[in-house]
Amino acid sequence: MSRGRLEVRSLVKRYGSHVAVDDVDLDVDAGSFVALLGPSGCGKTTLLRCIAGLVSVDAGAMRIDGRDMAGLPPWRRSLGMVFQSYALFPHMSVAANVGFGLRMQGIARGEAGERIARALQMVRMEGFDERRPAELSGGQQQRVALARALVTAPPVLLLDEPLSALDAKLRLAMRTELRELQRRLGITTLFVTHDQDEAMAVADRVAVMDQGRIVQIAEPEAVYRRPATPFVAEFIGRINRLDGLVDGVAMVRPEHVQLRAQGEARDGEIGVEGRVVDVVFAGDRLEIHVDAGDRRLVCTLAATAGKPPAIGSAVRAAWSRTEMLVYRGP
Amino acid sequence: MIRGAYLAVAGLFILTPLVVVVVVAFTSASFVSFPPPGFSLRWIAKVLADPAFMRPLANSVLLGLAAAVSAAVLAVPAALALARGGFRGAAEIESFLLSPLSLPALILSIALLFYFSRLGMGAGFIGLLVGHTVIVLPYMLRTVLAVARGADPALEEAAFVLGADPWRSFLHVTLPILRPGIVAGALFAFLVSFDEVAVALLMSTVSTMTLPVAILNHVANNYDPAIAAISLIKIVLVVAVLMALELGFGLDRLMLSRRRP
Repeated sequence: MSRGRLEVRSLVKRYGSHVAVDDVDLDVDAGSFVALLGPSGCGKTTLLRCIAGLVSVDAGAMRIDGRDMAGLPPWRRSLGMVFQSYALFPHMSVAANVGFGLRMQGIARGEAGERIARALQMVRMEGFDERRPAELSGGQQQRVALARALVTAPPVLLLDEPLSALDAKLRLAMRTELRELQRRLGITTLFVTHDQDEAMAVADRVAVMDQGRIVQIAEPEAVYRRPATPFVAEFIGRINRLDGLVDGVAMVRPEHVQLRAQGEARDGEIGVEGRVVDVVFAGDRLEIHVDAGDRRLVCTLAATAGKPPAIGSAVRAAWSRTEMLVYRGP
Repeated sequence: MIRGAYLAVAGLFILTPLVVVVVVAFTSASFVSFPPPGFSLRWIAKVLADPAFMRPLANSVLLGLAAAVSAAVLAVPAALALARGGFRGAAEIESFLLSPLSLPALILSIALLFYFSRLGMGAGFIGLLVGHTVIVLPYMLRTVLAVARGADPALEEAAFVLGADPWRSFLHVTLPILRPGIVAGALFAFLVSFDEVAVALLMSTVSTMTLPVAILNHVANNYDPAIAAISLIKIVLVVAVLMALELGFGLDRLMLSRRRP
């Protein structure tokens, strides 16, 4: 799949004195799936809307397969987009919704009918043609919105928190489905989410945004194991901050913290002595909270690892130097 | 029990005068009396054949339709701009556009008369139309604004991304979504214009006289059952319009500006 390479160069979007998108560069390879991840207000949705053409940009360039889009209105960009609210047209049937883009392109009725049927089949919504959006469940509306965005075979698919309106169970099922569909079609996809699990589960690469900038873009595992900044480390997954232990900021993931008997120091390890203050059962694992005087640490153990230490017992929380993340300077 | 009694009293209060008018319209007597001495269709036949009533009736229908259309043409863009908001003075502009509701129609009509005579136009259909458009605009604006405010702004954006330019997006997405508000507003606009006297009194000419003015003129000179007969015809017309809308759209849905399921 050589179609759908997206390049964003030095993109800037300001609202008054607030810089929503601050000099962003982004490359999305043809056929790859990139998640824009960050807390609310970090500029991820604004960046997506800039690419869609729904908000004007103050500076920078956007190209798809080398074609410059910065000056084009959204109706000339021929992209696919799924909105957080799905934005299905309430006065149109499912088939008319899916066929809207084809109608705007002037595709003949017969061909449009076939393509609508294929798109609905693709999202497993065949037979719902004549329904109105209000008659569908949230998950079904989501599929129709996806079919509507894909039916025109756009080079790039933009997804604006498409799963956030679904309940937790359905969200998990839909993200797997979304991932499979994206792989099958090989369509370049940019996915905005504030949910790190979602981003890690679906994307080939995760771009973490903070205050209008992309702070790190890498494979999910790399973002988790080698976060580029303390912000990324704290935003992705859980982490223990180890202030004052070394020069700069040190952190360690809970799964890298081992519990040992007090005084049991080993080579290559750093540890603190303390007391178990809480044991939280989380299904497949246990979270052990250790109070080490001036700091608290969380350590996770597999639930199958045996009997956890009792609350109040004295322990040594230790971790390997190589697993500790250290950030020097500001 | 108490609620039922209350509703019965309220219903009687509204319906009794109408019942009297309807019964008197079918009287055989040549004067207004209740109960009538006998029944006939003579007054209804007389009124239906009388151009002194039928021409004003046609004028009123035409004026009501024209006022509803011009109010829609003015109110739809205004409602879209106000619903989108985000500009200075939006709240003030909305209050201003709704202000004819609280302005006495008589004062408005006197002002319009001065205005039109300054322009050298005087009374006439255009004057009537302008006056009625001003009076019915708030009804149209309120119903359209309610629908526009409730609509998801992403709908228009979705249309853009799918390749619709602003005009086609308005035509295929925005306008159909606003339709319940426009139809409800047009209904109110028509009914208000159909019943309006103050502006009509000052702005009518002999050829553009509206039905309420013709009825007033008639009552001033003679008090016969023709008044009841033309009132009945007016009631039947209004009920017919309401029933047609109920069958076509569902009135409660229009009034609450809900979407069709």
